[in-house]
Amino acid sequence: MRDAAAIVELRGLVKVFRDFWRRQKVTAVDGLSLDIYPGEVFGLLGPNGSGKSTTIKIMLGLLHPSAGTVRVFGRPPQSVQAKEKIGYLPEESHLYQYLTARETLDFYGRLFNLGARQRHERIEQLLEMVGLAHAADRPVGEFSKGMARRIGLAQALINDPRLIILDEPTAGLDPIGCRQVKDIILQLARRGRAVLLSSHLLADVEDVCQRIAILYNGHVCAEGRVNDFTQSKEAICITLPALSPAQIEELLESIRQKVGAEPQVQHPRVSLEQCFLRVVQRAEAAALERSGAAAATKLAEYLQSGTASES
Amino acid sequence: MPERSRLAIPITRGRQFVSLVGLTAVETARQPICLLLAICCVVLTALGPLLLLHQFGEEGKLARDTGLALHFVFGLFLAVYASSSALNREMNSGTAAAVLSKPVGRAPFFLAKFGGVTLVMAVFSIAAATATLLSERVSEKFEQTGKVVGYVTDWQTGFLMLAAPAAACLTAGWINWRWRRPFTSVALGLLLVLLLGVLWLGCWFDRAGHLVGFSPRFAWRILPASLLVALALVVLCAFTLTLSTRLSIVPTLVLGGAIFVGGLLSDYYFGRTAANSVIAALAYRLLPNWQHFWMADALDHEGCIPVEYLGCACGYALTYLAGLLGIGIALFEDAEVK
Amino acid sequence: MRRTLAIAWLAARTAVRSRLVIALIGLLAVVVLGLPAVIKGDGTTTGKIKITLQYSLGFSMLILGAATLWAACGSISQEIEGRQIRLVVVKPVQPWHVWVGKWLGLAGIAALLLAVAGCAVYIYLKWHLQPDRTPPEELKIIVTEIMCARQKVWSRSEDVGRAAEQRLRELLQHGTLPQGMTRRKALAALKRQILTERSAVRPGGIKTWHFDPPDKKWPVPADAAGGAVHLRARFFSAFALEKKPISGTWQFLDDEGELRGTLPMDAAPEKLVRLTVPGEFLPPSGPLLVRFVNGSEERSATVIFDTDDGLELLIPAGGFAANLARALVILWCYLALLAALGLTAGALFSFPVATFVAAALLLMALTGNYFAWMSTHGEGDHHHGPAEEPGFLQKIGAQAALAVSVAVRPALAFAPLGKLADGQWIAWRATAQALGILAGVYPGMLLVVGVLGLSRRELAAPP
Repeated sequence: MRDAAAIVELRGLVKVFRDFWRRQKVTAVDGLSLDIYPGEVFGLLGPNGSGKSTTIKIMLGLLHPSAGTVRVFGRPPQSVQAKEKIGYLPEESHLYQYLTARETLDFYGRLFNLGARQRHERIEQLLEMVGLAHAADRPVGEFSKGMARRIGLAQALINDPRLIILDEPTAGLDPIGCRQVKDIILQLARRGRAVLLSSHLLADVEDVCQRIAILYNGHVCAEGRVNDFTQSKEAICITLPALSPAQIEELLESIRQKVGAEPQVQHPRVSLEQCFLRVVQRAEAAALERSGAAAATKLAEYLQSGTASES
Repeated sequence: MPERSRLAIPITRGRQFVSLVGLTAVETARQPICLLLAICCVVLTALGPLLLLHQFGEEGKLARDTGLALHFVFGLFLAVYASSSALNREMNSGTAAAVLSKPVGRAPFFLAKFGGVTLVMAVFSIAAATATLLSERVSEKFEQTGKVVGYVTDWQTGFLMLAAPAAACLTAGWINWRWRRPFTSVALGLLLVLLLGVLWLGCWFDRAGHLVGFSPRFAWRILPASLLVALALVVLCAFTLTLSTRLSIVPTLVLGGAIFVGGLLSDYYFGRTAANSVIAALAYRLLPNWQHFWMADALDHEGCIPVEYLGCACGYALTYLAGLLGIGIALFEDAEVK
Repeated sequence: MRRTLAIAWLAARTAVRSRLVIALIGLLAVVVLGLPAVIKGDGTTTGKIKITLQYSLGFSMLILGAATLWAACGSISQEIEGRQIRLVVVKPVQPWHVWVGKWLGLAGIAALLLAVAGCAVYIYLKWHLQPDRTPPEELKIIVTEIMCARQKVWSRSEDVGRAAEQRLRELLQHGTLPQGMTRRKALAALKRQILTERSAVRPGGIKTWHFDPPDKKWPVPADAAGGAVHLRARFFSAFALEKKPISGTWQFLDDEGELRGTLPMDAAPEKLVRLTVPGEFLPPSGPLLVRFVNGSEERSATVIFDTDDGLELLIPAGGFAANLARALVILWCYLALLAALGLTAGALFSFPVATFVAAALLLMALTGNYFAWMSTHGEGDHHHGPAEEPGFLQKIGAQAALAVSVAVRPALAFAPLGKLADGQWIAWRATAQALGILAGVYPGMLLVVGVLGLSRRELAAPP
């Protein structure tokens, strides 16, 4: 991953918002530098007002930096060539209320100069992928928030981008939808796409991201691999099958004698998400009727191009 | 139920209503377009007597008619913008939903919006009326006094009148820089205050600019005509607010403009043929006839508008208001709020 | 192209689905169908036809113009406020794609609505022209003078320059120019004076006009072409209270002076006189001389022909349907220009401010001519003696007004509705010029400004 050149290069990025009198109001980004490489899922974390959204908007050319340099695919962010390879899902999906889901994807597909056949194929695959095939001809204005996020995700992928920027992609989605989005992200990364994920949901970030940067007050406080952050080197966990109390006590005594430390015994925990999914899958298997969006976690066919790689 | 708790609910509802009215007025007044329209109306009214040469046989008439006409036209645009942003934009952005999720009924909400927009219209109308009074005073007139014989233009008042919007903007800018108060609403308030200040100063000077002691030398008979125009604008506000329950700003602007023009020409196009044509008769009865509120010609040759006429016009306006607001409330009750 | 068309299609769809188009169709229906039903005019079908052409189409144009301008102002600005534009500009589109796409969409909708209004007017007029609805004599007037396309042929302009110079030299021999009068102004005044003198025809007097044929030859006689050639004369009596009618004879001669025909005239002064000229009065080729011979003093008074358009020859040049189509194309060009103005304002400002700025610019453009004229012809303070020298600010204002007037003059040169109601031919050349200027040059300039503004604007900046 690191052998390839960085897709996104930010060096000393500064963004200062000023009032009418050119006085400094807010320094949203203050000397931020980071790189994003192909095939990795990069998480951008930080409390509210730390500069995450501002950084993303600068990368997309929606805001102009006050200082520093921004290169996306080696070009300035306003470059049309760079934008051809980017897919963006904003925090709030402000879509055209009067267009249907299909028309929305068709419109954005045309902006990428996709031919009619290619567009049609991709639209059908994307609608299937995000679970909106049944609502393809409904105006987007009638969608729930979760459905709007799904169509937002679909439009971000219509051009088979090399860099996908997702700002709170799971906001408004049910747990199944969240899992599906995360699976899509992982599959995209395995296919060599770079994904920049900005989210407050740390569990989601932990699930999918390989590297993260934590912002505070507009600059990077910490950056590195997720495992390096989350793994504690001072202790180890050993998982065993269920044992009787006598066997457990015997083991513990042995550890006490050999290591000289008091070990802790706990049952391993399963995440609530996994429990929920297990229950829903059982219900699906029993063929209970469920309303709402449903989708397979299979990536759209045209997105499956690219070399599958281990992350 | 004890007396105190019986009154608590109406008092609470009353406070809610007043809060909503105030909020709507402040939000509307903070829009740049509100200030732009007010300033342009005042400046064009001020420039009228200074740029136009012919008097059509009566001194001050052109300045008076120009001021009233500008009041009407700019008021129309203000009514549309204010109504649309106060209601339609809030319905689509989720702001209205946040308010209606509180114990606030739809009808009081709609009426409060109307109240807020009317409040802003009142401020605008007072500024426009003051500008018209000042403009009429500025306009060139023949004077024959002990000190002056000849045509006199009150340049002093004219200059002060033009300086008022500039001073309002500069002061509001300074307040914004110093205390970060919103520029537009402060400037609008200052514009009104400064114009009234110029009016007050004008009572101390004659038209030649000499200090002569307090004497309100203005054509106060213009005020009833301005009041009638303001009434017409309030009816327009009700109409555009009703439209805003269903339409976005551009269709509201188009239909508001059509009603404005249609109402102005109602007598000519429909009134003459109402007896012979059902369509004309229907249109004549349904369209508000703005000519009833346009009494500029009654002021010619020192004419005045009788109080009885003002009463009739108020009744006419109230009838339309009742109808339009009723329709608006009915439409809003069914409207989807995002 | 695909990107631009996608944005155009989106703009059109939004206009339709936001009920703007429905509101406009409703209004247009009221104007096109309702107005003629309630406005009687002079009670004749001719009057009704003229009212329909001018008022119905005029009001339609007013409604469509205002709606186009406002919709254009909101097209970009509301997307910026609503943040939909963020998902568009992060795609590989240039700012000009957005501007041009929206312009095409709005212009397309405007064209559609204008076509609907035009067709409705045409059908309405044709319905009125049925023999059972209109007396035959009136029908003939309508077909030959209103619902037709007649080309105006102007007489050769008289060169009075030399005569004016001569007269000025004679005047200067006896004195000097008055204070404040320049040589240029004096010559202009003398030219007007000479033209007025020459436009007066005393009883028994003669005045001749030379008409050159358009396209090198005159049209075939009226019966064969289906149209009539008309002579239209506008004149005044020499004295304001003169009650005597104007009697005289119109003579039609060829270039060699051979008389081809005469038409008598007996008309009250200060009225527009229309005469139908038989085809055989026109020479097959070469100039046509039209001569007015005023009657004797007992029968006629001194008549003064309008110096600017005293005499017009109107020859058939085409059909009404094609003329109406060309008029609609020119009207559409105005709508396209308004759309461009609105889009540029919307790219730079919020929606309410954009509508205000666009309306203010429009007003300045429309009144620039008036203020330019006032600055050159106005006499300032009219009560206190001779005109004073204009001050510095006045000079600046005058120059600004003149600059605006010159800049917008090409845009205001087309007046299709007046020509249509008058049965005048709207040339293909004029239509092409309108397309080039109103739908090409001016929108092009506005495109540059709009795109620059959109490129530099931070579309995700907080309000």
